[in-house]
Amino acid sequence: MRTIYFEGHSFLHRLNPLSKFSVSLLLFGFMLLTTDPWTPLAFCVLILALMVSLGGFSLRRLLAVLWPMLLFALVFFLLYPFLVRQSLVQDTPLLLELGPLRMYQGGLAYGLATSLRVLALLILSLPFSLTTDSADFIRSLVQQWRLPYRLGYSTLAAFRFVPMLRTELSVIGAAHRVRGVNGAHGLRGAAERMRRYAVPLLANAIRQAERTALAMDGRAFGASPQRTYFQRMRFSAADWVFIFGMLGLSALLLLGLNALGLLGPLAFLQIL
Amino acid sequence: MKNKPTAAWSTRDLLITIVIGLAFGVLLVPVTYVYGLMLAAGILARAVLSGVYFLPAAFAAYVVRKPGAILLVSVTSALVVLPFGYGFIVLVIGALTGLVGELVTWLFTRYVNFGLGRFVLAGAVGGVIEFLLILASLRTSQFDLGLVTLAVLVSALTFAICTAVAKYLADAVARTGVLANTALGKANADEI
Amino acid sequence: MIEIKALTVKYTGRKRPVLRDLSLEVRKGETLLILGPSGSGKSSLALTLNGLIPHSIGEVLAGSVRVAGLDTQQHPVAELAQKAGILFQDPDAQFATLKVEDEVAFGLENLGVDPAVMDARIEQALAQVGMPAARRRAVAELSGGEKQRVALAALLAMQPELLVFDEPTANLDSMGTQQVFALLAQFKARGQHTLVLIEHKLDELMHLVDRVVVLDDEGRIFADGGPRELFDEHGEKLQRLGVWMPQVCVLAHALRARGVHMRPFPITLGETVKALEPALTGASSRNGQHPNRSGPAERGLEPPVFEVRDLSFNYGSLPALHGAALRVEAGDFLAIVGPNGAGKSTLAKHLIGLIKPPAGTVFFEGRDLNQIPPKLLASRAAYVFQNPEHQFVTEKVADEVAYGLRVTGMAEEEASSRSADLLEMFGLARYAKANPFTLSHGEKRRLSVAAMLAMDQGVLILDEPTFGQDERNAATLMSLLQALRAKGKTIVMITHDMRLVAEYATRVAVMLNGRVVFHGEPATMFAQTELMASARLNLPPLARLAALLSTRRPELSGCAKLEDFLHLEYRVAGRQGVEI
Ligand SMILES: Nc1ncnc2c1ncn2[C@@H]1O[C@H](COP(=O)(O)OP(=O)(O)OP(=O)(O)O)[C@@H](O)[C@H]1O
Ligand SMILES: Nc1ncnc2c1ncn2[C@@H]1O[C@H](COP(=O)(O)OP(=O)(O)OP(=O)(O)O)[C@@H](O)[C@H]1O
Ligand SMILES: [Mg+2]
Ligand SMILES: [Mg+2]
Repeated sequence: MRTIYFEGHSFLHRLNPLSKFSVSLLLFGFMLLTTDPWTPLAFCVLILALMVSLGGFSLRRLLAVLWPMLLFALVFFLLYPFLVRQSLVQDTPLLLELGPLRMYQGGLAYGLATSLRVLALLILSLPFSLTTDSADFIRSLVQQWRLPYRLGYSTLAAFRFVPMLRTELSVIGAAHRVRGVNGAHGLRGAAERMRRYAVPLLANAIRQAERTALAMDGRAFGASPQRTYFQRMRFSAADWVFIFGMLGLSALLLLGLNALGLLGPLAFLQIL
Repeated sequence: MKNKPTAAWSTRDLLITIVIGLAFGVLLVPVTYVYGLMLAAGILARAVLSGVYFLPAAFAAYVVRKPGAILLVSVTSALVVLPFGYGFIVLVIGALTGLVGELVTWLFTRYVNFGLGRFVLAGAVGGVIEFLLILASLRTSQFDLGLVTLAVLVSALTFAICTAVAKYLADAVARTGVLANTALGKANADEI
Repeated sequence: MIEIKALTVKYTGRKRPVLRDLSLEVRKGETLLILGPSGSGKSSLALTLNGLIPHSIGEVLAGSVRVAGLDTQQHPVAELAQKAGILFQDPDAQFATLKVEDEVAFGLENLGVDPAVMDARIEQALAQVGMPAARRRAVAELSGGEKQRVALAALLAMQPELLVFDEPTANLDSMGTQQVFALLAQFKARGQHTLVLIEHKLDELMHLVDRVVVLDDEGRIFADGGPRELFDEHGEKLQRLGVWMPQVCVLAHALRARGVHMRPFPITLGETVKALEPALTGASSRNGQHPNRSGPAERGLEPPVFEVRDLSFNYGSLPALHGAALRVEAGDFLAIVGPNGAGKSTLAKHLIGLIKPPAGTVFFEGRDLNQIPPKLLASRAAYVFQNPEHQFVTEKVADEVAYGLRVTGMAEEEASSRSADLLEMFGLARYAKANPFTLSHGEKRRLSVAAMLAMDQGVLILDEPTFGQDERNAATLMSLLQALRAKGKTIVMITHDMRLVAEYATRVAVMLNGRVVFHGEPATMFAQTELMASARLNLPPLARLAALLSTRRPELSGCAKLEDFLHLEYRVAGRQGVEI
């Protein structure tokens, strides 16, 4: 996993990764169905409150993580009204006209709902991704959810390469620049350029992967179907409290929204 | 030595496969700068993009030739390449691409015959299937039929192109000798 | 401990076996050094010892290997891993997890060891490598030397009797190398393990070695015996084969050719000092002149090739350069040295405009670098990256060299004839049609230099060109660079290898914390013990020898070249040289 993990010892940190994962995934699935702006907004607030109260995050630190997402949602919000099919919103008041571009109130509402949903979808994964050590996640996937351990640990080992691959790509770029490489155009040119970058990057990565595989084999990796674990991942009472607590809170939130008449209809799968 | 695809995964196979996904993820990051804008810009752009994200899948299909490799590569590359890679969306998109890739590869090549025509056809069909699935998840009623048809064609075309590009890249990497221990390397094994 | 009988090993996809008909026996507790030219099969031999060959890679065509009584072909790697562990060259490629204790536990978990006893075994293994406090640290934040120590602890946790070290210091700076060598000495002293070493930096560990086995290019055993007899008797043949000996042995052979015989044949620094001291005491020193001081170079007529004034640079908030200043004169062979992270690469990148320097800080031939168009600069100065593969842009060796010419718009015919010349000069002509990636390490390196020099630039900047390369390749490259310098080119080379500095550089700049703290002749640098210590640099073996002998011969102070010792006068008794 791409880790933006912040080390800590809060309640959230101490939970089993899988309980955080399941709850986040469930809420994520539900969020895909919503169509109104209020539900995502409410869940964003709920999640941020959770991060502050049980995750030990300050608002400042959260903001540092959140701002690209907020920016993304904002751009989305501003563009969407122009792109939505006009016939859907034509009968709502016209707010703005820029040459051929028209912004209707209905379009704005669509934009708000969609961008808030996108934001909620991103924020929902935070309790999991900000407080979970990726090694622990793999460990619990292997120990509790029976992910084949060879797959889990190979993934863990390989993900260490990502920073190296990133630096390497920029070095390759610089190395080509000093050779005076000039970009050819068209599809052939693009494929050619892709090859120039991809071949050294892949060649090195694959060689490194082979070396790592040998080193792991040399330490009896995969030798037997069973292995023991130095660190046992467990489901504790706190995990159950967390899972049912979150589900209960979410249900209450939805009931409240419904009572206020803010909960819109649910629609099947609208990812974005 | 005639190559038979084996279902058994060695540690080396696993690591090579995952690393292919990671390397492509890193390579394709620039593509994602346009991602956010394009997403909003409509379904045509989307058709092109999902084709680009099929590159690692096609590469792995051609190089590793084992059931499961495509899924593994798609998920790992999605985790690296997509913005906000820690979200769940990436898992869904990666898994979707991977499963479609597995399906068409099995249908058209049985993980053995990777002739250019056959392989590219597999890619094109993958493009159609994947795009229809994406459409199903959007509110298709919002778009008119002409546009949807065009988008399906564009998707098929980009998938086909990306499949061909993946093969071109894989052959180029194979010429460096590092793929000697993979199915592709063994398939064109002339001993040196 | 090891019993190899008539072993022949082949890799899939290769016609020729890597190891042929190889037989070898190693007793328990012995320390064996394996030498051989690059590609002779040293690493492959190592892989046979814990069963990775044939279980994970390659095939055994004939013969057998027994380690601690187990036939490696019959027993699975899991079982063999508890008998033999291999420490590999690349510190980054041998970790499976993210934290030190998880890494050490990894092997135990694979063996199915009871978690209850793991804690103690982890503790013990880390203590054995001198890193008891590192349990909870992240692997990624360790230095190279520390990584190797943790990797070794991870092997030790599995309690092997045989430890194999496959060039564990090739990717380390001098401090990391010292850490690993110190550890080796400890293990030897403890005497619980049989050790097999594959190394190139021999002078530092000769005192540990009981026995040496040399492989030839075909993967056969070329020589086998005690280090003293072997280096004494086979010295010339080994040099011809391209196998490196301790530098003191090279010196002993060179002196022997001049009629000075040392008895017993020395293989360590101490022995050499003991042998040479008496011979030097009585003899007169020849005209008291420093043997290695070239007269002052004519300087100041032309503007320097590069001049850096008060250059500072940060990566984000992290300072990398801090008021660095440097002058590179035309015709210099300048070595830039210093510990990891000192800012060497960052400085070099400024010279070629890979990082744009602020106005008034970097000058090329008297002009502010800022005002020189990139194309013009590229036609005057070439930059060679550390990993040659990063610079390859075509699929054929010949195209690779011609590429740089074609982008400048040179006519096709001229480009191909010039590239053919360059390939000839760099000894690559027979690979003209090969894919650049399939060349050997040394050939790739030479190709990348040839490709960069296509435009006949006057200045060549190289960032650690010998990193991870063996000595023969390093030497070939260095003599090429010297030839280029003789043609009037200026060479700037970043390196960690002090032996190269001693043998080839005319000037050396020491960097520390983003500053150039010394700039002068190598001999002057070697003589400044405090500077060397503060920049964590090691004296190369012959420089250390010179330092030890300089009490007898003051003119040796700062010397580091073989030649310097050959010009001395030795007290010779008898007509045809002495045995000393
Ligand atoms: N996995 C592999 N597959 C195919 N060929 C290989 C493999 N590993 C090594 N070889 C080849 O086997 C030969 C011996 O390689 P080996 O790495 O054992 O040599 P070495 O003596 O350790 O060399 P060096 O000093 O460069 O490390 C070389 O020609 C090499 O290219
Ligand atoms: N691209 C980069 N981004 C951020 N920091 C960097 C980057 N490159 C180097 N640094 C940091 O700048 C400092 C100087 O790095 P530099 O690469 O110049 O050192 P060096 O002397 O070449 O070291 P080495 O011997 O390890 O190559 C180091 O602390 C390094 O971590
Ligand atoms: Mg080797
Ligand atoms: Mg550097």
